[in-house]
Amino acid sequence: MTGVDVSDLPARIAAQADGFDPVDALGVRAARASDRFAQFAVVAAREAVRNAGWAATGGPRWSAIVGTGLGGVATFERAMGTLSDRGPTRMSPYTAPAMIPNAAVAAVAMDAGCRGPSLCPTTACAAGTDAVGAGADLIRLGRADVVLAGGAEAPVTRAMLAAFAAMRAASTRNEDPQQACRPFDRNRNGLVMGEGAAVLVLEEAAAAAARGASVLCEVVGYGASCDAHHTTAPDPAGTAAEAAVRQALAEAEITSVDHVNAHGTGTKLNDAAEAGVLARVIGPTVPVTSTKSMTGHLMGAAGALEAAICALVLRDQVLPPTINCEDQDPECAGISVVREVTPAAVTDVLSTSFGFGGHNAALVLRRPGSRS
Amino acid sequence: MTQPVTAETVRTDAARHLGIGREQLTPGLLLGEDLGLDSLAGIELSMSLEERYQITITDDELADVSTYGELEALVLAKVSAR
Repeated sequence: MTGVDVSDLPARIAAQADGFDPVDALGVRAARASDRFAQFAVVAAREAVRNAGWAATGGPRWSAIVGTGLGGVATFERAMGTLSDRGPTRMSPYTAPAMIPNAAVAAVAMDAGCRGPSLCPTTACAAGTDAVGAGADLIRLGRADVVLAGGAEAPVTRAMLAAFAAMRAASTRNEDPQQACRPFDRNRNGLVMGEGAAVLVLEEAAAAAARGASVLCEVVGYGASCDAHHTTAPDPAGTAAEAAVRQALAEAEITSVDHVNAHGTGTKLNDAAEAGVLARVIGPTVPVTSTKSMTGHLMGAAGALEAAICALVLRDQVLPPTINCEDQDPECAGISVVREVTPAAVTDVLSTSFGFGGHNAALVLRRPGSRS
Repeated sequence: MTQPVTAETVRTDAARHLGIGREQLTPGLLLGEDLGLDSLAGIELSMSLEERYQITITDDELADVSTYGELEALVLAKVSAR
């Protein structure tokens, strides 16, 4: 762990984005004026635009939707330290603009010149999925031609590590970090924080085809709901989560999929509730993966990262594994967990996200041109 | 502070803060139009120099500064009055 004093914390591990240099990417002034989560977002958006083949960006028909769970928590923690150690006159003037949750989407919009509608979903760990769903809706409603949709999170701070440990949501398998996140495994004991950003370039299919874009996947279904049950614990009945998944499938006009990228945080409660939902909706044979076992939990960026992973699954026709699921918990029965890298014929993929607050979001992504 | 504070040391520190070469920071440059500093960036630069030289620059004094040269002169005056 670099840059964070974790010596006295109960949960001392995270998947940090090593080697990220904001000064190199953005210049010294922009780097100093922004939080790490927004820096990740700008870099991810630039990569996405480049990979989508757009040489020039921006204008009133370009939109940005970048979700986050926490916003600029590192900036806030630094500011609180400054306030108590050195007083209010030493507070950085960038404190407020850097920490607000919409700082990432604002930075992306400014960088790419997106002057259309912009949004910052803050539905906790569902925010990245909601961003992609909302972005697809903007296209469908004709309110934008291009949407830079994704999520960004930089949660690996002393206070946030302590806070997630305080609610017993973080894995304390500190001596064995690579095996700490164990989705659906009997011995799972919590999530492992990750950090980063993922951004997708969304366009209407015909428009993308007309400009000769290399299309990775189609967003064919989006469902969202709220448990209205508890601040942090998922509704064990999973009624609303199931409704979100069924809504996404119905919009895609299908009843099952070839693969699921599950929320699969590695917490006791999430994985049991989610497995129940997936068992009821898609049954015991569809291969299910939690890539969080390898990436850590990027919170408000997780759904966007997992949508990007799904796009690559559809392109490469290979399923990623759920590492560390060695002994599938009977509480997570009824689903088929992918244990190894598995070549497969994949047309439709479901990605699920569930956030504190009871927010549920699901996407169905399809291999381009597979059905129409 | 053991080293004497000169125009050169102020320029070096300001240029480092701004992420530009020292030779680029000439006295006639306007902080806003030429260096692209908005009000927050101006405050931050001022705070950085305050901290570096153990001086206090008031908001009114900063508001009267429009070029880099004026800022440099203000800092040097504050340092000599320390």
